[in-house]
Amino acid sequence: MKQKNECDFKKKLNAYIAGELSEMEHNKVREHISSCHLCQNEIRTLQQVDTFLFQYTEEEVPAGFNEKILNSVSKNRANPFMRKVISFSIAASVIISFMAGIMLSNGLYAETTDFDITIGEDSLFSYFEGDYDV
Amino acid sequence: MNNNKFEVLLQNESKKIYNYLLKILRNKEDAEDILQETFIAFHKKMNSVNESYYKNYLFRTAYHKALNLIKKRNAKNKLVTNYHEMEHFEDKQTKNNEQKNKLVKDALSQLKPEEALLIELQFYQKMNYKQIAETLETTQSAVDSKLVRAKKKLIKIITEQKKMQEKRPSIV
Repeated sequence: MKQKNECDFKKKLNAYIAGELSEMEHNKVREHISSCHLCQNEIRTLQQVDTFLFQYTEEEVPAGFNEKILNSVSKNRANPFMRKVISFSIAASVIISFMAGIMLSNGLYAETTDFDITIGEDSLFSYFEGDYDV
Repeated sequence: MNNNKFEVLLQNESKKIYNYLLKILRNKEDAEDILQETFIAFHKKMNSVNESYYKNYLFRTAYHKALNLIKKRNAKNKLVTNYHEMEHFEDKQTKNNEQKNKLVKDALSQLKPEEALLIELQFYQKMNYKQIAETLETTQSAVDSKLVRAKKKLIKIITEQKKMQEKRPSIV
C-alpha cells in the first residue's frame, strides 16, 4: 500500500492557524485535521515557530530618543523657511543688481555719447574753423 | 496640526518600529539611526500620505532603509561574522529575556528582509493578511505562501540553534 506523505490540506494550514480562512473552510480543515496525522504534525511544527517568536519581549526606545527625533524634525522644519528667505534674498539682489546695472550703463552710455559727440563735433568744427593750432 | 499628529504617531509607533529594526539589524545603534531616518523621511512626506496608511508607510520606509543598510553590511561580510562571534560571547552575561530576544533576533536576521517584515507584521503588529498585503502592495495569497516559506526557514534555524545550544550548554 502506498504511503501518503503529502496532504492537500497542508497548504491551508498556515492560514488556518492564523484565522484567515472563511468560517466554512475553517470548519472543513478542522474536521480534516482531527483524522490526519500529517496535518497534525504540520500544525505542531508551525505552532513551534509561533511559540518561538512570541518569546520576544519588546525593548524600550532609548530614553530621550523621541525628543531627539522631534528636535531633528523641527530643525528640518525651520530649514525650508530659511532656504526660502535666502533664495528670495539672492533673487532680489540679483534682480536689483541687474536693474541697477542697466540703469547705470544707460546713464553712462548716454553721457559718454553726448560728451563724445559734443567733443568730437566741437573739435571737428574747431579744427575746421582753425581754432586748433597744429 | 500635522506636528501634533506626528508627535502622537512618534509616541505610538516608534517602539514598534524600533523593535522591528532591532530584530532584523541586531544592533541598537543601527536600529536607532534607521528609526530616526524613517521618522524624518516620514515627516517630509506626511502631507501626501493618507492617514490610514501612516503605520504601513512607516514600516515600509523602515524596511527599505534597513534593507539598504543590510546590503552595505553584506559588502563587509567579514566584519559581520566577527560581530556574530562577539554576540555569542556576550550571551554568557545576559539575562533570560535578553537571551530569548537574542535568539529571535538571530533567527529573524537570517531570513530575507522581506520575510522578516512579513513575520513582523503578522506576529508582532497583529496585522491580518489583507492589511499585510496592502502594506507590501501584494496579494493575500502571496502573503500566505511567503509566510509559509519564512516559517519553514525559521524551523530550520530554530533546529540549528537548538543543536548549537546542546553543543555549548554554558552559553545560553
